[in-house]
Amino acid sequence: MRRIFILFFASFCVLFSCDSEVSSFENTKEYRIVSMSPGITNTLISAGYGEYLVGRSPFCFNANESIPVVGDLREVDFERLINLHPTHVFVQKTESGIDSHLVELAKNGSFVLKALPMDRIHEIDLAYGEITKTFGNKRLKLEKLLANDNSLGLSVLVVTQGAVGSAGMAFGKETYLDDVLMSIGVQNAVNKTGWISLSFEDIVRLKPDKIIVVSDSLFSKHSLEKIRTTGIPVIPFMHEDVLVPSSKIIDVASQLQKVLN
Amino acid sequence: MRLQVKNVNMRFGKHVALQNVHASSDGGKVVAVLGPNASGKTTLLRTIAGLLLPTNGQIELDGANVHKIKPHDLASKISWVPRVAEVAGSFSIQRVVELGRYALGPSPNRVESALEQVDLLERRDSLWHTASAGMKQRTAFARALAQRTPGGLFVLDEPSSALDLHHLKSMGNNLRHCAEEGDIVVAALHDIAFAMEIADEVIVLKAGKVALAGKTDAVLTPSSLGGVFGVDLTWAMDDAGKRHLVLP
Amino acid sequence: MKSRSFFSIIFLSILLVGAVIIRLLITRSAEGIISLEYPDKQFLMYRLVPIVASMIVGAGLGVSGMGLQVLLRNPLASPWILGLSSGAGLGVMATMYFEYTFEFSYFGSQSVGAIVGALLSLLCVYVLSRRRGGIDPMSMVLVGVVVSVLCGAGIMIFQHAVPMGLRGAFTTWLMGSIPEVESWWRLLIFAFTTLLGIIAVSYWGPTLDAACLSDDEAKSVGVNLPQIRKKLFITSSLLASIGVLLAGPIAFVGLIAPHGARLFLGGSHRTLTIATALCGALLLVCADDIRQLIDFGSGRLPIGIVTSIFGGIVFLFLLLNNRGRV
Repeated sequence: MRRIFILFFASFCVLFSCDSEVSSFENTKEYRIVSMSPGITNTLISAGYGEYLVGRSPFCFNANESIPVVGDLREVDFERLINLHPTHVFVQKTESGIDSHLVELAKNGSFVLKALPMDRIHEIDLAYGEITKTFGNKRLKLEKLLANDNSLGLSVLVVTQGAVGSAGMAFGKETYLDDVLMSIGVQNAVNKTGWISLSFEDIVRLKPDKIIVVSDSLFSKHSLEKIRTTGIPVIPFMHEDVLVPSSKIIDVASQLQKVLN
Repeated sequence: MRLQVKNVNMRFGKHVALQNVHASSDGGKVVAVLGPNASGKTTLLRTIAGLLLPTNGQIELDGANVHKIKPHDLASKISWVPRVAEVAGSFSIQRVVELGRYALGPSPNRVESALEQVDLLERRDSLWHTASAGMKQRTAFARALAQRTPGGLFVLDEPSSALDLHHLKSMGNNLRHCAEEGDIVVAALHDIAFAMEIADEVIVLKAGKVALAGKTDAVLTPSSLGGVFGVDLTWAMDDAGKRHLVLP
Repeated sequence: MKSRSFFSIIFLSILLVGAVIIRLLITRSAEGIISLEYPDKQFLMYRLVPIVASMIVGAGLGVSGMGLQVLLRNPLASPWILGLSSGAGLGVMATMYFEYTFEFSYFGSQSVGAIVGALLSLLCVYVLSRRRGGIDPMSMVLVGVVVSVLCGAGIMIFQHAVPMGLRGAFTTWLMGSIPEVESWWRLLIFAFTTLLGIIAVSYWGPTLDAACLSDDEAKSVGVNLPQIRKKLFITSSLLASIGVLLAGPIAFVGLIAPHGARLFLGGSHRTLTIATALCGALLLVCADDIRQLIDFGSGRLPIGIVTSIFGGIVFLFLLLNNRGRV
């Protein structure tokens, strides 16, 4: 028993004597932005304000790795957040609400808190405008996407990669990828709203002209083979910004249009 | 102290474990309960000890129904030794014996005396779960000895099954001593010779009914017991004519 | 109290104070450098609140686990064996669903959902495991497993019905979270209630000792088994529910703390209860300490992951050191 405790305390001392990776990132600009949403982070970077980022969420993969992680909307490291002395804190407005203490800190004048929804293209457009107005003094709009019609005459099903044995999650109505499809003149084969879990039989019954499997990294040969068993042409579409709604959705739309033409 | 078993019946679903059992005994006696396997010995003893409510009938101690006495009060009147003791948890042998005093208040002297009587004084600090089967049985016996109130009811279910000859003899002496102090000792036993040595009275059960009952010498004969157990018994006496040897 | 018990409790208290001091002093700079410094006033709350919450939750879960191990005569029993965690999860998920569907919300609604779910599942287990006027330990374990499975199915149904944003929130809740912001009056109420529960269990210590005998032996020495089982069930459930309310479902503490305490003290429950409370508090504060030190670049690990890894390793040590004695 004594040995166990000596080992325990020794480990503790060793842990303490190891420094964490020291970040060389420094930021002394006038704006100090913390973004706890990957979508908003990507929008900030694309709008040219990435240099102002001093804190991020663990899922903000496009941000500089050395920028400290402050947590995400569900668990905020308040001490670290306050230590960063942010001027602005951005969070994504979702159904789970906003941490009440963040709101309290913002009310006390610690920083400006902006909660921006990012689920639809018009919301992304508004968020982009808000960001450019805040830091660039001019509200900009996203490059206008093309026609809102079915000019391509195609019915398309967009799904993520499925786990073993499943067909993946489909993007239904009122999602950002549904907005993209409409903007490039393609009809969404799914009529229901939100993210839908479809069976292979459901997919066959929907009779889309094409199935687009989206991914931001590698494709699994297994999941593509499974979905090809439906007999419907499958197009794997990889784009690093396809799964995180941000202002870069314009580029996603443009690439998708090229693939479908 | 007078124990009365009045027309006790016990049914578990369709199975009849005890049927119309009558018995009585006074303080100062050792009563052995004998019988083949599954004859209802344990069921009868648990009922007598107030641990099992009979389907019909009742057990009375000095006229009071034992199943209507509160647990705390019952502990001062009845001590119980199970066939197989169980202790969940990490207790020393001494601590297990001390648990016999739960309702009656601590008494280090009684605990020490009980440990001495079962020859476990030197092993008092050993952990119970590391003890042998015989030591566990002796611990349960010691717990009941520490608990018992002289002149009360002392119920034991096959307390000697794991004991060696030395401790068997010691237990027999302890039980006789308890009876001399006024206890009614009721013990289920498999060892006929041991029963003949220590018991004043016997009850012999067969298929849940009382097959034989009465004074030991009168009831326990080769023919009567052979009929109950369904075997021919070899019956012998030692050279001094005091001890029996009973074998199938 | 025997001298071994006394010194063991003092030792555990010292360890706890040490772990608390470490938690108070661990400072993680924005650049990720870790040092030991007394915090500025503005950060003090963010350290004191989790320290107090960890002690309340750890102590409560530990004693709850101990009570259930006696009640169920099972050394592997913990608060989660009775479906408490699944019930709380179902309550949280149901609250999220109804708030989203009917567009209403009120402060603390998810906590209320968690506690209602936990208590309802415990009530089911209690009612369904009663036999002839008393709780049957074996039935309780079996019914607890069934209730857990049913609550798990209910959770999956609600998960399908809510948007992705809520599913993620629920997944995070499942991993447990020591609060860093909490009102002091709520903490005071929880601390007081937990302390009352611990004192009650300690007071029942001799009865718990006797209840460790077989049913027949326990009854014969004077234990009112139905009564103590009911008391233990209610108290253990309340203590664990407070833990769920404050921090969500945190694994392992309720299972390990009693065994850790037994290493020091042996089996007598009056002092074992106090040692278990200290052990539980120590485990959780240590887990929170460790959590402050580990950052793989994605922020601190959820506390549930740390208690599972840390707790699993500690439990392995306990098993290896005490083969057959758990």
